Amino acid sequence: MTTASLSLRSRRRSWAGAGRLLRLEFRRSTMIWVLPLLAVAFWFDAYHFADANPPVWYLRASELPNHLLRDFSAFAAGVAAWTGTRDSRRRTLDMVMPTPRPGWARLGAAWAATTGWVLAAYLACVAVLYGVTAVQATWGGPPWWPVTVCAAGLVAVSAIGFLAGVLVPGRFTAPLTAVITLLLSSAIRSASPYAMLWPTTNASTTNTGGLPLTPSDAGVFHHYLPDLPIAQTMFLAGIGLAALGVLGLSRVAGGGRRLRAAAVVVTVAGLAAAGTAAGLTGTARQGAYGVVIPALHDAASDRPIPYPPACDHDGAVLVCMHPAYRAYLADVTGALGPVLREVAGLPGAPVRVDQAATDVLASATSGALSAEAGSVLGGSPPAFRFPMPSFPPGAAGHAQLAEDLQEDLMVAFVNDARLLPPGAQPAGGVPAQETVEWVLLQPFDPWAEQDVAAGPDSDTASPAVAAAARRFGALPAAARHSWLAAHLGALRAGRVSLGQLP
Amino acid sequence: MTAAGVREPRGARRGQGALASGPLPARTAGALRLVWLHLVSRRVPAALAGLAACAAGMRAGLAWGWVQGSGAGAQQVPLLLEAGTASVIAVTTYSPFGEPERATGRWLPWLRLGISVALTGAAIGMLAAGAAAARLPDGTLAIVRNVAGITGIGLLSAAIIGGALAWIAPMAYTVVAEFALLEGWTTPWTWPGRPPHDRGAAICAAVVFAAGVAVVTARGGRDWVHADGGGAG
Repeated sequence: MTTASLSLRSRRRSWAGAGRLLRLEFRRSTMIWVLPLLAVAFWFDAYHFADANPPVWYLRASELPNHLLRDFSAFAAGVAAWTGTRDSRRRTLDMVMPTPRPGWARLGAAWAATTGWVLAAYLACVAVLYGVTAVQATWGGPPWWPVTVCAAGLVAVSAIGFLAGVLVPGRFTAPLTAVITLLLSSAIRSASPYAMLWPTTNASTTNTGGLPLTPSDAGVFHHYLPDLPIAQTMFLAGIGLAALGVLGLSRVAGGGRRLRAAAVVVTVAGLAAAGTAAGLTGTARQGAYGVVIPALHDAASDRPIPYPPACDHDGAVLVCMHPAYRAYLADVTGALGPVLREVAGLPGAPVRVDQAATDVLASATSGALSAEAGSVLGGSPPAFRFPMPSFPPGAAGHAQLAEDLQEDLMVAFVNDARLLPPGAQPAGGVPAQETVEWVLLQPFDPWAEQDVAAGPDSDTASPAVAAAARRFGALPAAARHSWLAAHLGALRAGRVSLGQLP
Repeated sequence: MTAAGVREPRGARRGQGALASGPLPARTAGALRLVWLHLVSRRVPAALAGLAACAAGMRAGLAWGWVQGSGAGAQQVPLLLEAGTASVIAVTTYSPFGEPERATGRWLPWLRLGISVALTGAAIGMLAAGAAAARLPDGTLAIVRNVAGITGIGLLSAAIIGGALAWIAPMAYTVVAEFALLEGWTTPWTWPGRPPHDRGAAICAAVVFAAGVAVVTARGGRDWVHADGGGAG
């Protein structure tokens, strides 16, 4: 037997021992008992919220950081902290310190088992969510960046929680770690770009300008921008690595000079990765279709994704949507039909309707109705282009979708003052525009008065607008149509007063 | 073998000294010492610090705008802090002594009852103090109801899975309650989602609190950590 073969056998035995230790930790992990609770949390929270969204891949995937990561991270951090307190809790530190295996490896195995179970549960939930979405979706494929970011987030909180348990062993360490983790997800409402490094902040809040960081139709018309997810993954992995490195430097990890040197290298590497990610995020800017980090940005991501539109007809008007929203084509056609028929034949009436991408920059700076609005009526021949509004699930949601689309089309047709950029002074004819919108929408929208004619602090129109609406609405449809045909240009320019309405 | 290396509970000597030096009768001094030792064994001073930290979190949340408006989203942070106090209270039920204490502690049920109720009162008081001089959605009445109800869940879980891991159930309930808040559930069993004056929600929270206190008073936290020679985790 040679020295080389002895060394090989010793190394194999060492790996086998490490594998056995890991297997034992997996079998004895407290996290196993928490798995049913994670399943309940997933079902009640993330799955229900995801299922309420249209079956569009990014929309569904956005619930991963928003809900799944938030719920799982509390349990991951808490149980990891509990596991980290084990030696202290059982007063076995003196017994395990002299064992031949380094304390870092022993603690690492316990942490790996806890984190492994959390990740397994997380991936199972992702599989369920993506499986259901795959059955329902009509276009596209699963986005993997949200999955990666959340996995990195779970690893990071688990490592920090475990470190807290090892360094501050006490019965209150685990619950307080869990509460702080949940608070971190709920409370961060910072305008700083660095707040975006924690993924739940990105998903659940907006930045200073009130913009959504990623439009709701990301990955549909334009590629899902991976800039921010790359920085987030780098940051979270770095934090996790640094926490494990500090674990190797702790007193309970023991170990010789070489192990401590390795722990220092791991800590520094983790901090460097996290610091680099933070530095990159500091240069982030809001793009039209997501957050752009110049150093990580791939110009190819800016190119639109080609697609064959799904189209339907309402009379002579062609209504086309992205195939990802094919399930809503009939609803959209049915909602816009009455308005299209109402304005048919008038100057500038649309002959085509197209779904457009949500441009978060343009919709916010145009002063449109909401961040997702941005409907445009124009071109030759005239076409109405609209981004898909958000709407809740169920029958009420469909009614709201119809109402929003009808209102958007009417506002664009009359060139409502709400389309003016912020700060621009509206012309004097705004009340007349509101009156016309109200009268034209009233036959099929019972909330028309509140939506388009009411004042900012009221649910009803002013007496003057209400009187003009009664007068204008009492006209026969043909008379209204011919008045609009003659005065639509002046009405759009804001040069028609309430008294001039017939 | 000598008793030189035997550790005393932290603070025991301090309590003993303070009691021995006073003019109290021996019986009263003994009772006070028993109470003090029990409080120390349950880490009640540290628990009070944890409750104070949650109250400070409430104050910070209100001051820094984590709690804005009066909608479901605004109730999330207060609910989390209420669950945090409940978790801390539930964890105090963990006994480091196990069977020997059960066998010899005649006053143990009363001590458990006193600690559970007193800490719940302290948690409510501290959170209310943290929210004072600021507008908290649903006000102090909701703090009373939510802390009591979630503490009841924590105490029940302490009786089932053991005091040391009893924080898990309040956390799990919080996740479900947050969903109920956002979705506007009307069942009184998810009381954090109900208005503060809702009688059904108050009754449910009170029943759960009473059940939790009763079970912990009678049985204490489960001792399976000692029973199997180490326990999980």
